[in-house]
Order: sequence, then structure tokens, then C-alpha cells
Amino acid sequence: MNDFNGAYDAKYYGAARLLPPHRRADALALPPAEQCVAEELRLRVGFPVCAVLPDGERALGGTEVTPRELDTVVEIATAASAHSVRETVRAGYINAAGGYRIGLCGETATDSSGVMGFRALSSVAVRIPREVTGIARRAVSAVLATADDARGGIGSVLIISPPGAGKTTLLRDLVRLVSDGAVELGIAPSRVGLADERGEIAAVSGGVPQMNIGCRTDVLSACPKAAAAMMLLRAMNPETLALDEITAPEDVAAVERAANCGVRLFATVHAFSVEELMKKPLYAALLCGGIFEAAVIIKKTGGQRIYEAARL
Amino acid sequence: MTKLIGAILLISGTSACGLLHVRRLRRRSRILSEIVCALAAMRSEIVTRLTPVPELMERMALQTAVPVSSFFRNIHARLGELGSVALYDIWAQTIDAAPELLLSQEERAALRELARSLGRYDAAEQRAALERAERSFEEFARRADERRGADSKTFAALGAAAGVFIVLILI
Repeated sequence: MNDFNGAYDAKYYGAARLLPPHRRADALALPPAEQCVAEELRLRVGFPVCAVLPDGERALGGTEVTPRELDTVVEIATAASAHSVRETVRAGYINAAGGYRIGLCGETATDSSGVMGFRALSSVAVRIPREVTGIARRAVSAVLATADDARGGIGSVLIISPPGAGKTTLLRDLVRLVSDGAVELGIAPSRVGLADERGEIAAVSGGVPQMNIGCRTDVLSACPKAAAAMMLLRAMNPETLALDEITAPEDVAAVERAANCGVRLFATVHAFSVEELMKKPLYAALLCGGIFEAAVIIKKTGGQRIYEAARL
Repeated sequence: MTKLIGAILLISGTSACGLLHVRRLRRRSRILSEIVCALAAMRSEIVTRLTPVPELMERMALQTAVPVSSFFRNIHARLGELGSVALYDIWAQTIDAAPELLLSQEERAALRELARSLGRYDAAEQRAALERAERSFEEFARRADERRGADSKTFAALGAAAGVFIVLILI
């Protein structure tokens, strides 16, 4: 969405506001048409600021980034309160208001319990959250063409794609679609429990989701997925449970437990194809267990995303 | 008659100066005690609740009395400048712009030093810095209390005595 009389893309502008003030002009010099499709802003010590566009990274000019500037990004994003977000810092990222996720990289400080924080940052990636409504309809149409499910038109779906292809964006739109319902697709409105561990899907701020996730969605943010899934099942009685990025055995176990409770599941995993996923022992059990009825595979070709469905 | 009125006014004036100084000593002592309490509350907030700095400043402004509350309120009001100005500079500049806190150079330096750790990743580091500042301010408050106890009567008497002395010279 363009704002400021079309001069800047609002989401991109929000990301630029997280940069040190003298860097903002460099970032905002990117043409509005490219701001609208920019995926990230990257700052690496010793190099100029870069924008990640569909066709790759592009340097935005200006002087080389200094370590102090990376600290300033963290200071702006956390309102000088890095201690308040130490759990996510330990996981290598922080969430800023508006749904921006800031990936951190550098020299970590560790103790016996693991990573405590960062002694010095070397690079920072500001991910621009894009809310794209309507893509779930394409994905659901593809699924409906392959799946045969009597429960409200669509069963449990696993979204598969490599990093950065738009899994979270699709999952968000799918959650919204199922929550609000879509009569023409045979989807009745239903209660959705959303386990938003990294705060990327709903971007809840002060209890209010910053993204459109539907009117029947209950979000549990900043809680480990496995625990969140069980809490939602016990507390909110969801008809559909959505989780982003299944990566650990405990996540798989939570998905299996949730499936036994009779809820519909939407989840995402990193992979290029179902075949690749089958080769990984962690996911093979998930796919062979009959938990998911269909998979949606996101493919990027020439800056376009294609949603392919496969029966599992 | 004029001389008598003049003498009374003169003695009243110098006595008032002495009493104002006594009041300043009392006020300083109270402010330092208030800062000690605020530091303890900040430590508790950061260690137990991991309270973000903006919320922390807001809470401190509500929990303390003027002029300490104004100090925290002014910091909170300037947090929108983060990015252009570092938290340390906002904190230090707010101290410098608060003569009403009646702090000595040493006390200002101790309070300024605290901001070097505020808002860092490590809550333990902030806890240590807050405990250090708390100890320093307990000592400052103790000294200020001692000075108030020892000097209050002296300054009150000196004020009145100075007035009498000047009157005697002028007569």
C-alpha cells in the first residue's frame, strides 16, 4: 500500500524508520514501485545498507555501516529495552511494533544456559511484513482440486517452501480466510487458534493484532509453539490450529497431539518439495501419519509465486 | 521609629535567608532519599518484570514525588528521540536540565553512570548497576542527613545573628 501521496510504501517506510536517522534517506531513495516489493533491509558492518528485492540484494548507497549503527537499530526497535526481549534475542531476533522482525547476527555472549545476548553485532536484517490478501483463495482452490474433504471444504494443510518464499504470508491469509469463512469455496467460518511464537503472523501489539487474521482467531504470541498449541487446545477450544515453521521434534509431537484432538491443522515447513520432506526423518513421520490431507508448495518463478497443491 | 522598623526588617531578612538554606538542606535530603527508593523500585521492575524503559519511566514518574517525578517524566517525554539521541544522552541531558534535584557534581556523575547499563540485553548487568547506584545514593542521603542535622540550627542562628550584627554596625 502506498502512502504519503504515493511517495513511500507504508510498510517500507516503517522499516526505514527503524534505521538510524541519517540512513533513512538512503533507504527512502528507493523508487516507490520497488519499495512495495522490498522484502528486507540489511545492514552489515563495513558495507552500505542493502534492500532485498525479488531479484536479489541491492546496495542503497551511503557510507559503510558501523557497529554503533546496528546497536542504534536495536535501541530504536526495543525503545532502549533490549532486556525486555531477551528471550527472542537469545533466539537471534527481535520484534518491533508493526510486525517487523529484526534478525540479529554477530558475536554472542554465552553462559552455561546458552546464548545470553550479543557482545557485538555484525549484521542486522529488518524483515518487512507483507500482508497479501487473496493468495489463500488461490492456494485453497488448488487444494480443493486435489483433496476430498467433507469438513468445511478444506482439511489440514501443510505449507511447504524454501525460506523467504512467503509461507508466513500465505499462512496468515489462510487463517484469515478460514476464520472469516468463504462461502464460494465451501469454507464455513470457524474458530482458529494461532500459535504465533515469533509474532510475525498477527504482529500483536498491546493485545491488538496489527495484521488481519480474521474475526474468529485467538492468538497466542511469544510462546513456544509446542506449549502454545496445547494451551490453545485446552483454553480456547479451536476448530482450526495454525502454527508457523515446524522445526523441532517437540513441534512435531505437538502437531500429532493436536491432530488427535480432532482439530484442523495449518502448519508451515522449510523444504522445496514433498519428496525432499519425506527424506527428512523428522517430517517423514508427520507426512506418513495421515495428519495432513494436503500440501501447498510455494514456488517462486521470475518474482511470481505459484501455489501447487499435492495430496498427502 | 524608622530605625526600629529597619532593624526588624533587616533581622527578618537575614533570618529568612538562614531558614531558606535550612529548608534547602531538608529538601535535598528528602530528594536523595526519594532517589534511593526510585532506584530500588527500578531494580525490582527490571529484574522481576523485565519492564521496558518507556513503561519504567512512566511508572517511576507516578511512584515518586516532585521533583524526582518530573525527572522521570521528562525522560519519558524524550524517548521519542531514540535513534537520533542515545538513551544515555537523553538521561544525562535530563539530569543537567534538572537543577531542582539539588544534586552535587558527584551525585550527578553517579546518576549519569547508571544510564550506561540501562536497557542493555543483560538484566543482571542492569541489576548490578542499579545496586551500585543505590549504594552510592544511600551514602549521599546519609551524608546529606548528617549535614542537615548538624547545620540546620547553625544556619538558622547565623541568619538571625548576621541581621543583629549588621543592625549594630549601622546604628
